[in-house]
Amino acid sequence: MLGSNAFNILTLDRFGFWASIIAIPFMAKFIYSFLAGPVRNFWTRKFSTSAHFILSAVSGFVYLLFIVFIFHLGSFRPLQPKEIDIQPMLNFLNRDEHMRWRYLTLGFGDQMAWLSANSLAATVDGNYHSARRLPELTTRPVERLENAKFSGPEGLASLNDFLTYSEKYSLKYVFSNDRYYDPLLYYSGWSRTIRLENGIMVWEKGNISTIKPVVPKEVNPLLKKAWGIFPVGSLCLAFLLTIFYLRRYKTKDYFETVPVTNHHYPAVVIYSSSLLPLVFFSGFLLIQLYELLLVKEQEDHKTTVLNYYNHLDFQRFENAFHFFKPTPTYTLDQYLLEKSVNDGGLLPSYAKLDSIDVHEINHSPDSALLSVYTRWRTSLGEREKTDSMQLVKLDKNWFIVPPAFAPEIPEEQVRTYTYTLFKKQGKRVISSFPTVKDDKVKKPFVTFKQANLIRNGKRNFIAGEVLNADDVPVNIALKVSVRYQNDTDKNYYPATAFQYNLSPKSSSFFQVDLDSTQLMDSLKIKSIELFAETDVSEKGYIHGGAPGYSVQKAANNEVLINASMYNELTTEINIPGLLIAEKDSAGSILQTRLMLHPTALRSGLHNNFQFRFKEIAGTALIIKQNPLTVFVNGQLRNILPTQPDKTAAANNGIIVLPHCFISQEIYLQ
Amino acid sequence: MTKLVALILLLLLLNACTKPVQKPIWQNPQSIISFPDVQLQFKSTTNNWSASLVSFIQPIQLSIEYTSDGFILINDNKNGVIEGPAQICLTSGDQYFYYRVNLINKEGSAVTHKDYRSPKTVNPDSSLHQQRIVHAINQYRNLVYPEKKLQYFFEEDMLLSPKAGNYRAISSESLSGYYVQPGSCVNVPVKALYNTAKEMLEVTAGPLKDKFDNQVADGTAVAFMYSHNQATYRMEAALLKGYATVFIPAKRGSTFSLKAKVNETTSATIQLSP
Repeated sequence: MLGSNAFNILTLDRFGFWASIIAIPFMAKFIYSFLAGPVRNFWTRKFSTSAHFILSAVSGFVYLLFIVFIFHLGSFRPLQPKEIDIQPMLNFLNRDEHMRWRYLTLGFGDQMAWLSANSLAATVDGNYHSARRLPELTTRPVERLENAKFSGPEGLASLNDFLTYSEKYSLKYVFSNDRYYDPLLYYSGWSRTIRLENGIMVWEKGNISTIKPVVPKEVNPLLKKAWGIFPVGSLCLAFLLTIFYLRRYKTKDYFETVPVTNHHYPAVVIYSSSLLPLVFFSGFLLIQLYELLLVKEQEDHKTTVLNYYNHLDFQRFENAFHFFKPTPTYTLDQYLLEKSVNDGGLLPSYAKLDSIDVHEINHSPDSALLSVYTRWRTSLGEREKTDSMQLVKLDKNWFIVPPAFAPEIPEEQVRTYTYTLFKKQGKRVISSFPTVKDDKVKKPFVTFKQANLIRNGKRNFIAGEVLNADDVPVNIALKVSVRYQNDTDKNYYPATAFQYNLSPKSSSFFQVDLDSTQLMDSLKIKSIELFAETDVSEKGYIHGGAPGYSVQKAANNEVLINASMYNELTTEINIPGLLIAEKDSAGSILQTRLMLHPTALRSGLHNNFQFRFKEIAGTALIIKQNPLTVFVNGQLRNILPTQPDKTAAANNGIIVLPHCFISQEIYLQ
Repeated sequence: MTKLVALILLLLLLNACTKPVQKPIWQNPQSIISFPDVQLQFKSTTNNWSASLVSFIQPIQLSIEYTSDGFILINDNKNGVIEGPAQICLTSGDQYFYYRVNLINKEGSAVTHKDYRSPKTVNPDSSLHQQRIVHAINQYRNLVYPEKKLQYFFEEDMLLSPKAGNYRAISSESLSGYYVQPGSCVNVPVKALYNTAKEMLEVTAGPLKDKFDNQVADGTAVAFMYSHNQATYRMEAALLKGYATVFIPAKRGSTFSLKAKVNETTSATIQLSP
């Protein structure tokens, strides 16, 4: 009711800390009353001294067990990641002027503060909420960005903002200790740079400006003095007043062994307060013991499925296997083998189970057919999945019937594929001087094939296509700068609907979301500028997979995209994905969206999937009255004339590009 | 008492004055001093001198040998100097005497040629023009005339040959390299073979060449777009030595309509019936 916002921002642990301090006098009063005060008198008078002694001893013993349990809680349920050696990260930050940019840690737990304390490099994240300065971190109930996945959708939204608007914060490096964030990093334009000796993966974003010097804020001299005097002064004053109070009023009490008290409590208060610790602590421990030893995980068909998914979510595969109907042909080995070839992908590898709902389709005393609806939290948002499961009852326990396994078998026994990899030499002149002119690499050329300002109802965005016109792979940073009539500028960046790294002569669709129609119309657009900054890249330009698709019209302006993906590479495609653009009859791009398939695709195999795609050709407008100018590496460029696209026209305006995540580090994609 | 104080002050004042030193006379005056063999004779009656050669870049300490009627300044530094105007500075107590000279190096030294090119990378799709600025410096950081040109700096606009490759402005220095890239391909020839054993179509695009007959750059993305059973497929391959090949799984009897695309250059559509 009160302070919920502060609770959300300051988080539970700080509230818990201060609440425990506030509770100390009340607890002291209770313990004193129980051990030597009116509560003890009540018990000895009503029952006997022995009864009071036994109650005290049992309560104390149970409390001791509770403390032992809490101390070892980390062993049962780890709350922090394993210890990370920070030295490789310090070395990385110290070399090649990496300290000129900000960094971010992911999945470090409290150890992020230790890294920050040992490095002069700046991070956007912070361990103490109130000391952080970025408004994006102080206005949202996010304890830390590094554990955003535990902060729910708001935490991931904050992290997403930082990873997308990284230019604004000069955020160039991410140290990742949790692969959960890999899909978000990859599809937000981050590339893996190096895996450090301690196993931490360093992700990097290209074309990020160095930290800009901040002009110190002028503070009134009086205020400066006040900050120096009042905090320390008030501490000293409180100290002196406490001594004065104790000397003046409490000297007598101090020398008394037992302060005189004649408080009277009603019997119900005495009974409840005396028995509460015993009931609470022993009850808690009993529940823990019951959950650990006595829960029957397969007592009914729904419980069986829920517990099976629980084990799967925590990757306890051997426990999960015991839920399958025991047969001589379906061994643990077979289960793990089938899992290794069937599993992997966005949901099995990069998601946490959020909720599960089980519905009966058929149910008899000995068998059941269930529909299992699961919702998963991934770094790219929530995903839903519905499976069906057949269960049978054997010896009072329910078991899952192993699903039929019919994998596609690749044609070849050994696959070959020719990769063309590039290596940027870096500094050829070994000098710490930053500008050796002859050693500078030129900025690669890119061209805008088209860029359209689209308005679709409340939404506004820039959609288009950019081409790498150079002979080297390129990393592109796009930025849309909108200037309003009141001479304010606002910058927007593409999120996941863009391929940030392009191989020579390849192109990518893009979409940069702008503000709402109401806001943009109220501010009145003066001009829109689209900037592209480029750099030679050696990573991230293999987007993998050979997609195929056909498009069917559906109701409500929707189309059904029947897609297939063939993995022609020699490595597994962990997240098969398509970058889909909708074009009008003139070939102008109206929108771009990223569609991902939840499971991985092994080398040489095919995958078929379907997407529903809402077309906007009938509702969207291409706004031409606002001048849209494009700049490439700071130079004004022209947009190429738009040409009709026969492939798109033959597929209801839909055209696709492969945009897959490959986790194999050998290519550092 | 007042007189005594005035007397003491007068004595202190007189004691504070130093005897003026005569300016030494340069006995072998020369307007140009060639380094490092410096021997400068001065006539002087005093012998508490220190000397330095102050050029615009740094002071060079000179050592002094006293003779019966003066002293000789000797340079102990056997290296060369940055040439140009300088002053000999003689110091005795708080008095300074200056003599204007010009410094040159007696002997020549190794010359380093600088040849800056801009842009270092050119692409025949846009322009083959390049600007060149040339100069040369010797071992002691003095500008010297570059070969065949009576100018310390000269610049020129050049039109490079369209032949793609890595070139060097100075043959011995890899850092002076400049690069002519291949341009975009002008034609995309495509051919396909059916591998019966593997049940695959082997489709090759190439040789891809630009308008100057250069092989198109390695790594260039070639998109093979084909339709089969009313679905559209896209397979990409990176160009290597002018060719890009993809293997399309294809059952015997199926039909494909295929074209290859590099940037905006598209091949002719070919019909395939394995």
